[in-house]
Amino acid sequence: MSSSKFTLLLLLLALPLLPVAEEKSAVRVEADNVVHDEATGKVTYSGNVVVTRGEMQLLSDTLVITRDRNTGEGIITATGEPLKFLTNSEGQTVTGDASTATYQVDSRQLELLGSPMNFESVDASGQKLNGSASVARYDMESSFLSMSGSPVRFRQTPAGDEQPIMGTSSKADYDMNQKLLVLSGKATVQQDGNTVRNDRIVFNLKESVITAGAKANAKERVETLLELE
Amino acid sequence: MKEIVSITATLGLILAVTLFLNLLEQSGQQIAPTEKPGTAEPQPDVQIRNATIIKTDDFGYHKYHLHAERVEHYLQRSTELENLRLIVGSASNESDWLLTAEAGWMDAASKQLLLHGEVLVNQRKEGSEDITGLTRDMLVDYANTLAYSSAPATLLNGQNMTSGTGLFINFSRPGKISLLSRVSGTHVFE
Repeated sequence: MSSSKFTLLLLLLALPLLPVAEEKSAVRVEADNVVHDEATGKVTYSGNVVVTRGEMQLLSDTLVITRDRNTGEGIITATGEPLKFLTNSEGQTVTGDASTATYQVDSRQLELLGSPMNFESVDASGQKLNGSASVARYDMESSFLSMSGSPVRFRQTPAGDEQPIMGTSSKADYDMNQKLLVLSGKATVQQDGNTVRNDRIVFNLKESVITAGAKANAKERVETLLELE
Repeated sequence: MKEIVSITATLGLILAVTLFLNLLEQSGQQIAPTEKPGTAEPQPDVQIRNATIIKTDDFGYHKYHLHAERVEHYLQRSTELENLRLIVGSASNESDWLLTAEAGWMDAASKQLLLHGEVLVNQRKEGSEDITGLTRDMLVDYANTLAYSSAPATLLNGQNMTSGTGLFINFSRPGKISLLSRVSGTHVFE
């Protein structure tokens, strides 16, 4: 077989990849080296790994790409000390560091583990929410960040001159579209020297309103409402 | 009279030198064909067309299956091969590697095979996507059951494409193939 035939063969094999690779489903990786293991179906990248998939980027020491045996969904697992992550979806930028990140390609779920993992979320208006947790699950499809830790810590920096709001809890769910942060389990929120403690605190970042109570929708609930302005 | 003798002697000397040079040139032209560079090159002691060389392990399983369109063996030197295909069986016989090249060179001890020019690497395994790779100038080390190249290389596996510099295969670890540096890959999930 001549050289030109070899090259032609490779080009023909690669031809179907060219348009598909431009689609959103393509994951691009750069690294120092890679090992393809057909026995396990794993592709392992090592050394200065940068993986990019649409709105998400991970910088890590190692990266393993596999497929779920049952669903066939692509799974990306990155590890680093620490690894850095960056997501930018619909004007909401989330950055941070962790020790392990697992990304499910089809469902766009990113799970972050760390001791702790740190994050910072900035919306289009410049409003910041940063904090730390042990485990975070970020659903990029619905812009929902769910965190747990002992404790989860957060700090919200308003865009204007308002004082920052800080808090801790065992669990925190942040709906980025609704700008709602729900703290549960020994939740504490502080601002301007005032402290609110409850097992459940709902913090509306858009309205700067904090609602405290065991069950926000129950009639018998006890609420503590603070107007911050 | 003396002048005539002197001129005649000089002319005679010139004529003698010219004749000598002509003779020398003619003799040189006659000798030249016998000094052609080609005749000094060693000739193969054995030439085989469409040769197949099979090396088996202790149990008779094919470890290396080498086919070449032309094999030339040189005494106390090496073996040169043209248009060759090397099939390397894995230890577990689960998957085989196929290496194809236009030319190859095997050392006198038959422990190393250097694949010249573009080298096509392919692995087929039932139940999984083929891995196809392209690189250049690959060395197959029979003794250590590995093959490597320091040239740029590209791997294709289903809809995934990975490129880098340096390709490494350890035949004793079935299914594993590595790119050694400056790697970039594209993985497509449907």
